[in-house]
Amino acid sequence: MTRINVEIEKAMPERPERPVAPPAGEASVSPRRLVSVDEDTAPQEDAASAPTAIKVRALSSWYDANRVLNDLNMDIPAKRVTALIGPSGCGKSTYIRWINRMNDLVPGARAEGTLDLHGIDVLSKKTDVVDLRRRVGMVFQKPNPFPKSIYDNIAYGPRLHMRIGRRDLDELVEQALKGAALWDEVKDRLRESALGLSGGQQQRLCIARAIAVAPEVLLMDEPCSALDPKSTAAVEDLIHELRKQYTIVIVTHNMQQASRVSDHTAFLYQGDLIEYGPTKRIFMQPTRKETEDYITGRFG
Amino acid sequence: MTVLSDAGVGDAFAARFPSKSRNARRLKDRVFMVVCVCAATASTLVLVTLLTSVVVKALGLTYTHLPLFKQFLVGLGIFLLFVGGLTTIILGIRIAKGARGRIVPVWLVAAAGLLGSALMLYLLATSGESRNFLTADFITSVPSRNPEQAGIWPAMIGTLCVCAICAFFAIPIGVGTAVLLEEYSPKHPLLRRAHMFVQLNITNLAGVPSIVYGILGLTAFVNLFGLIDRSAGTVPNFGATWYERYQTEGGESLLVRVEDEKVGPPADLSSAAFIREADMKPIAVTIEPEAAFAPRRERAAAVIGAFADAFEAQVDRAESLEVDRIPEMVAEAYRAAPGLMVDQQRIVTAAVARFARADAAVPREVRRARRGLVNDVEAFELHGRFAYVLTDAAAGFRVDKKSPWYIQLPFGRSILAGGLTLMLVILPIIIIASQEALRAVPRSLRQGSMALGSTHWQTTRRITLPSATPGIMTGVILAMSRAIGEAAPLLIIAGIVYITFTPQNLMDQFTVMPLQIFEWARRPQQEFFQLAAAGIILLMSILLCINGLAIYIRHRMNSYQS
Repeated sequence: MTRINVEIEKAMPERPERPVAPPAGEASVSPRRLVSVDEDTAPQEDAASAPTAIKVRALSSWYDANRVLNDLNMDIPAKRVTALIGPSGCGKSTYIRWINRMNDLVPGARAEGTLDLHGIDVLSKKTDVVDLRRRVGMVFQKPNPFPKSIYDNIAYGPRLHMRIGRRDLDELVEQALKGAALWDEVKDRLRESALGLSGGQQQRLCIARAIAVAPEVLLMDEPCSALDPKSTAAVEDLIHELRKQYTIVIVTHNMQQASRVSDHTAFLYQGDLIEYGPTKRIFMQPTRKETEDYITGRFG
Repeated sequence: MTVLSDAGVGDAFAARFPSKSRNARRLKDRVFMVVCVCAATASTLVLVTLLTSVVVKALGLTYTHLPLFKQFLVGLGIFLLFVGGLTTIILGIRIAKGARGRIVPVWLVAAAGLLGSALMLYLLATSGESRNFLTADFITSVPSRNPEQAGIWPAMIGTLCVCAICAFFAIPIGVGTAVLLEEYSPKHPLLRRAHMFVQLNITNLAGVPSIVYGILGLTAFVNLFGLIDRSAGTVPNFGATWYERYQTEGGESLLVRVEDEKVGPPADLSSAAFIREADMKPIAVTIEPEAAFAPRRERAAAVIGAFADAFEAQVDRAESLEVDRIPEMVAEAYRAAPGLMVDQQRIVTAAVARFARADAAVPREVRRARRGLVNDVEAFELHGRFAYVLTDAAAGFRVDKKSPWYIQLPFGRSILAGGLTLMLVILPIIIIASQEALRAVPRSLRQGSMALGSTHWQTTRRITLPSATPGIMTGVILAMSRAIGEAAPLLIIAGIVYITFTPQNLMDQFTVMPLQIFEWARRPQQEFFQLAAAGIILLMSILLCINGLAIYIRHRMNSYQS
């Protein structure tokens, strides 16, 4: 218990102080502002200055009669990393799987409330989920490369959505792999099976696959839980890079990871959003008792 | 710390029970292993013995008359051939795939195969009187009453055609059904019931004896549930072209296309487009106006007769009769009676009679000269110009040329009905195997694809189906192996028929190798039994080839899976 605190205290002073983000539940307190900060200095810049990418209002969700999310209200800032933490079964995964409607695939899942993504009413029945999922990419807990070549894995999404020539596609694949910091490792074996890559490489391949369709938002559902520490570090570095271009929502069980990679952190407990704010404040000065208990390891 | 104390508690707990004797467990393992090894050895021995007896029959060796050591050699040779051949195929595929590390040294396998063949050759060379039925002639000949001349060609082609038709229908339908059942399960409760009902039925159908499918095929495909009244004479058909056939005085068969079987011939032939039947190419024919209408049978007979008389007179006048001169004499006779039809039969008859009178042996050429005679006459006198076009009565000269996809309803005892019946037999196998394969595709792959914004169908088509292909192919291979060896349902569809031609279109009668083998095996003569054995070897070789090909394809498709 003390060990965790010590580590956070060691890690945190490296980052400059940030103003406190809006607490959960306050509707649209963060006005849209132009981002005037240099992108390269992103990790250090003001977290609250980002415009809102996803506006969540009164989101509740059920699996059949089983309620898993209660009235969630949250503004997820654009081009920032937002971490969702909480004990198992608190609804983190359910929550992010509503953002790209992956829950449609789960029989008996339904949701109420609104989830607004740049003017798209995500939860509406009329919303084109195919287009939505192109805009909202997702990376899963376990690396799930398709049993195809590395090249075809990346090209899969672009081929679905656009008419694209061979040369352009080659370039797009290269861009995506470079974006996922994988290009140097695989450029000589693009035609080999993706299943021959290591776990960490596979996960970065999945990230490359997701960014190849140029999404606005990247959802990551415990992307490092199946990886070894070295691969985890690689993926975390990648998240730092991706943050310049994409809005990232990451679910994690690893609180050190949340503190390392995220700008904002939301703590969910039993379907309720307990606390939401800049990562540093959540970890250093949690306002709620449950949050403190959780991050200090008293439960969860 | 806690872990240690937990273990302590576990030990104390375990200490309350007597432990099993280690020796007893080891003994059980040993006994189990011995039983397994015995079973494996026994099954191998039985298989090899069976195979040996079949091969020995096919090669015409009488097994029991061989000295004991040769019997042993036969068995050893066949075993080596079999094992060597199989391993070579598997190794070949592995090596072609670029496998790292050799599982069995290649030279060992090759040596086994060589030794096996050498042994068999030695036996063949030393076993004295024996007739080997497994020859190239056996493969390329048609069935015959004489076992020396009998072959399996029509049955072999029949088997390949029936299996091709069967695979053509069974694979798409089977895989499609599996995709529907596995990937598109309905949400509505009523539809779910229907879904479960279909699923249950398919599972049960896999266990139905194949002869039942034969009866089903007889009703459904051969008779089309009796929906079409065949007493009207003609049945609905597609893909056949109908022609009126005319004979020229040169003896050539000419065809004029007509709409269908029942439409009469064109009234005015002067503008008709003629086709030469021999090569089905258009031919220019000039018809003299007064001959444009076909004369009746009587008139045709009269002119034919007159010509033949003239020829006979010519033959009688001739001082010597040589085969070479016959065309010349025909031409002379034609000049004597211009505009008359050449009756080849009577020409030949006259020539034969003349030879008989001269006490000369009738040369074979005369008997076989029909075609040559006519061609020579044509070349001599009638090049590209026909004075008369005769037709023999209005009916009976109607011929049809069927395209390979000719279809008639109902299908009758045709190759299409056979293929479709076999499809019924193997559909449940393919469906169940495909379902298993689809179920084995990890859910995470489907989710990954959906998360990239693909539709349900795109995910199925591009991710799920390709990932399941190896499993589906395994099911298809098993199913096709069964289809090739299946005799019972085809016995009902085709019956035992004496077929000496290969099927030309989908509606042709057919026979398959298992039926042909059955037909030979039930005859009393020893030679036919040997023929049956040779047929079995060939059937198994074809099976091995097709399976090898399928395994190769499966490995090719599989290359990204690992």
